[in-house]
Amino acid sequence: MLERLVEKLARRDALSASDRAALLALPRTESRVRKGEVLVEEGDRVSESTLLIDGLSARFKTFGDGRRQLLALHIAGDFVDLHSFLLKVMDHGVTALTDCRIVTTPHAALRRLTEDRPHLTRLLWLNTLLDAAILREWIAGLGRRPALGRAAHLICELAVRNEVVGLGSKRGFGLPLTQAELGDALGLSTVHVNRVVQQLRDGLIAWEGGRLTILDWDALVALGEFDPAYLYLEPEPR
Amino acid sequence: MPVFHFNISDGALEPDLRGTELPDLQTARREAIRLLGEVLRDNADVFWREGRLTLTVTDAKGLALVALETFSVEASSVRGPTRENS
Repeated sequence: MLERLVEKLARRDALSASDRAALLALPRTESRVRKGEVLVEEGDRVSESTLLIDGLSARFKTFGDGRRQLLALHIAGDFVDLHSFLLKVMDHGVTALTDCRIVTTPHAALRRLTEDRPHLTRLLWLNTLLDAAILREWIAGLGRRPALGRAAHLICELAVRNEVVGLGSKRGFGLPLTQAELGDALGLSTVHVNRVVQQLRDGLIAWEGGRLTILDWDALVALGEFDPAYLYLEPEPR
Repeated sequence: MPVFHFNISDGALEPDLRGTELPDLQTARREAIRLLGEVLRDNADVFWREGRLTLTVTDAKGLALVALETFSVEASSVRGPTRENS
């Protein structure tokens, strides 16, 4: 169940067999959450971290008028709130965008890992840094990318992230999101997303039944000015 | 939920073929303003070339419900050939 997390980390640095085994042996509880369920609320004090095994979840903040900004999209293998291990109190919520399978692991177990295994600790630290790098890219995009470019960039990013954990490729991946949710991620009105998707459907993508097919990867990359450097795809001793 | 179409015309007609399901016209009005703002933000040069942008919200049958007009006004000193300051 934690294999995808291991794959994700191993892409960035070699894990020793012992560290690999220690990760896979983390005490955990598996559960299912239904689409729309909030896994953690903003303001919650938590004593466990959640890993996504299957499905799509998102970090979010809401505003007084009910408007929502999604701050991250999680796919299988993403350690949804590893940072809560150190932050203790959540500054954002996490919601299931589809039916999800998750595992939760107690903070006490993560602490034991950090006490015995410095390299693995650095890799867990790296995992949160990867989240931060993606967030920086999102902020830059929200600030300056035009609508069409934001959508193209996100699609490229998700294709690459899915590829890392063996769930998709530059030819396509699962994206069971509504246009409203896409709008919440891209900082665009739902209607604008609808427009943008219609434009993208004109030769760049197909998006039906939750499946996003990429018809012209190069055009999408150019439109989104996508450079995967911020995803840190190359292994290096860390 | 009713379907609303948000058609933008800024010289080049850009019909919204699929439309969006929204709860009511009130929501459609809100979305129209947000869309107008977002489109203007991303298309400054296109707007100034045309000087005008119209967003028309229609129902599923194509009946226009509300429209937003954006147009530029140029002072005569700005229009026409530029003069060199001596």
